[in-house]
Amino acid sequence: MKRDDRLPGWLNKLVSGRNRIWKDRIWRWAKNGAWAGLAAGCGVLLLARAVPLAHPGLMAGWLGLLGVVGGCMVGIWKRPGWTETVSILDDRLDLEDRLVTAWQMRNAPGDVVALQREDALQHLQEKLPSLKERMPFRWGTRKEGISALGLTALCTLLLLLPNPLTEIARQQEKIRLVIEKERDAVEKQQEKAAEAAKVSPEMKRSLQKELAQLFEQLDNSETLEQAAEKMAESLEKLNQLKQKMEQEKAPAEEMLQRWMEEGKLAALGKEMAEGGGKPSASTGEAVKKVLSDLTPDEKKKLAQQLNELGQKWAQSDSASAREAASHLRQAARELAGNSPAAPRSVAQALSSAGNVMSRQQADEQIISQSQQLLQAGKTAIAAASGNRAALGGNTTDNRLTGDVSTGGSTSNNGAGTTPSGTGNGSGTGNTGGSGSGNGSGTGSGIAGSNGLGAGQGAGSRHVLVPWSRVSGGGPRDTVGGPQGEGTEEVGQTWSTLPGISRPYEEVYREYQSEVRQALERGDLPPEWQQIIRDYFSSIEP
Amino acid sequence: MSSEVNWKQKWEEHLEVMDQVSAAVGRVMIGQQNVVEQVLIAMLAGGHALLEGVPGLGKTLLVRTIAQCLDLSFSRIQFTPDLMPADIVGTQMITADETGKTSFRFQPGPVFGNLVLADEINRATPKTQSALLEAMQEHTVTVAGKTRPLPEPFFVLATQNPLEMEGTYVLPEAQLDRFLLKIVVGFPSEEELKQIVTQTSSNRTVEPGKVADGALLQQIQATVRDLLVPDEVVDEAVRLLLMTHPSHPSAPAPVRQYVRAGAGPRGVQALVQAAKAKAFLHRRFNASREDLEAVAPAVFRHRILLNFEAEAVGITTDQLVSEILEEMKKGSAR
Repeated sequence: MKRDDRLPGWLNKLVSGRNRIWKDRIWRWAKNGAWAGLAAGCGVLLLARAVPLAHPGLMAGWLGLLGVVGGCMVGIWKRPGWTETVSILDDRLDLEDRLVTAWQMRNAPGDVVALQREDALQHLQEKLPSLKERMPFRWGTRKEGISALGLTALCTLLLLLPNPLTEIARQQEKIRLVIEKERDAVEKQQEKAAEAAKVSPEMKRSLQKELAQLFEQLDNSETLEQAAEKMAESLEKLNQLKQKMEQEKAPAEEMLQRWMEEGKLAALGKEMAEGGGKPSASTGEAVKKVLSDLTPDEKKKLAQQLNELGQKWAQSDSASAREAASHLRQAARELAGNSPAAPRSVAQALSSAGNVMSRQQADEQIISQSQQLLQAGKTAIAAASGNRAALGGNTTDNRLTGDVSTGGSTSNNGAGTTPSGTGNGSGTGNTGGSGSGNGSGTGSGIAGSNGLGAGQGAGSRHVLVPWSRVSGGGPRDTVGGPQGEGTEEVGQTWSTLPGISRPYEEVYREYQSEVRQALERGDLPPEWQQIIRDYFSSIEP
Repeated sequence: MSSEVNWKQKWEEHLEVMDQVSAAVGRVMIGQQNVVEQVLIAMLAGGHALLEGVPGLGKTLLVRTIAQCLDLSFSRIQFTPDLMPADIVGTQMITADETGKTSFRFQPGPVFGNLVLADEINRATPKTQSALLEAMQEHTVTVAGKTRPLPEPFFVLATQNPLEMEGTYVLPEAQLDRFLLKIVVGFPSEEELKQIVTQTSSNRTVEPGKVADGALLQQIQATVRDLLVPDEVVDEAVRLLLMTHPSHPSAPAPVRQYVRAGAGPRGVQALVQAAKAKAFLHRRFNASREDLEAVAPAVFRHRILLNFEAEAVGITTDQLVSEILEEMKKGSAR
């Protein structure tokens, strides 16, 4: 189709003819598009009977609409050129190639050409009024109408008839969305950890690595169980990280507590708690005053405490802790040797130690946040997988709770027979220290199975059973307050923990028995019964 | 503008002449309008025509009438098996002048006429038939080493009987190819037969009368040659020709099955020339695809060579041409 055709003035009569051809063409293409769309929609609805598709009706509708719109667009785009118009009009008006010849020789000179043009125009003038009769608008045949009606009826029938596969596909899509949501949350936490200023570089690296790994695993997860399992594994690793952190933090806190209890050293404890940055002159004076009040034995004891803390921190992975350790040991040496520079060294050491404690506090907070996130994710996944009903409890998004949560790990790693049965919960916790908050929520268990552990011997396959299915009271756990004095006691209800680890075979038998009874009672719709049977067959141990 | 008017005036005069010729022939010939038109097409296109039909259908009458209308010299050659080439083209004769001196003098044969009727051409031997080859193609005759031009305009209208095969010689392909059209003269209808009986059984004779002359006919031929042929028509003519060739990809299945050889390049020339002549007779300045379709059977009828299978089954070239035209219409549906 040539777009650069120029219509000579003497052929202006062709405009109406071309518009008619164009309209006819648009209609024809729209019809073709509608046919294609209807057929494709019908195909999709039929396909949905064989393959799980989440929204076949919507897809069919879009395809139909796309067909019509696409057909119209093609029709509009295929506007007839003048050469084509001339050819069609010549044919339809029975002009016996008069118009074609005149068009082709529109720029040629000669007597015959001029006479032929005149003859062509005269005939065109005579026959153009009959264009509508000679070129009627083709709305469509009766056969086409019946076929379209039949196809539409078939589509409607397919839409109205229930399709179990669609429900399955929707569940799968829901699962995918839940996993994606958790994956995105993990990614955000990863960014948050990277941006946290006070967190130590070592902690950042560890968290980044762990969260990145979890992100990838969630990305590859195809079922909620897989996702929950991966989250449980990550949660366990974070627990281990937190335990390690607490172990490093514990000696300093114990020392600080002892100083606060002893009246003479309370000032030192205060200086250490407020530490961070370089020691000020007032710090030096305060330390000097405290040291001058101490007896030689007390000084010796203080030097020993500083040395012990220094030795413990010297083994730390953290560079700042190792640096503080050297300051502490130097201060201990000078204090033991009664050196005149001892007050300055002690002030320096206290400042470094305060700095390390501040970092440890920040590290602990970021780990806690990450744990909360994973726990909430696990809860959401469990809820999505349909365990909510089995749990019989209300699930609350733990990300809405306070900063303080209890990492109540009931890990069974010891014997190696049950490698990683993990039950984490965030429960009601009242912390007396500063910066604490109330975190309330009802936890939910997951049925993630764990494989063989690193221990000796063959581990059996265990799954988490929600507390609602296990009778008995909940455990009590004690955690140290982050900035508070003393310890906080946190009471946990059973419902805050996801469950306990039990052998898979046992849990399977229990569930299967209940389902069988439900099937026998006819509690479940007939179209679901076979699916449920198939499901239990597929997960049979 | 004046030249345009002149041309149109001339064109209208020529059309008027042809109308008069048609009318005059129509007065003498009962029915056979299609045959008359095809003969005129052949003449206007400057070609020769082969008329095929059983005896008594008025073939000779038609030719003679046209010759009278156009005031052309008319020669009739009755072809027989013993007819010699010299009987057609002429011969050298020894003649004596007043002084008694003898010399060779060329005695022109009947071919030296404007309109030559080669009656029952297939009764002569191929040698005699081929005597017409040079005359038909070059419009000259060579005797005793000397080439002599034939009078213009020059037309050969040959006839042959499709039924009598005894003692006949099939025209060679080269000879057939020189005929622009092969016109089948059909049997008249009942009504036409009645008119024929009425007209010929009385004393009243119808004279066609002189309408034009040879020179005017040549001018009309020139006018026909001036008519326009758009590229689409030329393309279709070429496609039609190619479709008669069994080895060509566009050939329809019956052509592939029943045709031994398709039409040669003269076929496409003849197609366009005949289409122009038909357009002229229909008062158009351009040849059209409809013209091509109308003349295609007469143009290809004698140019398509059927194979043994076609003859065994009874397939005719007309059927094949119909198939080709159908196929063409499907392919060029607008």
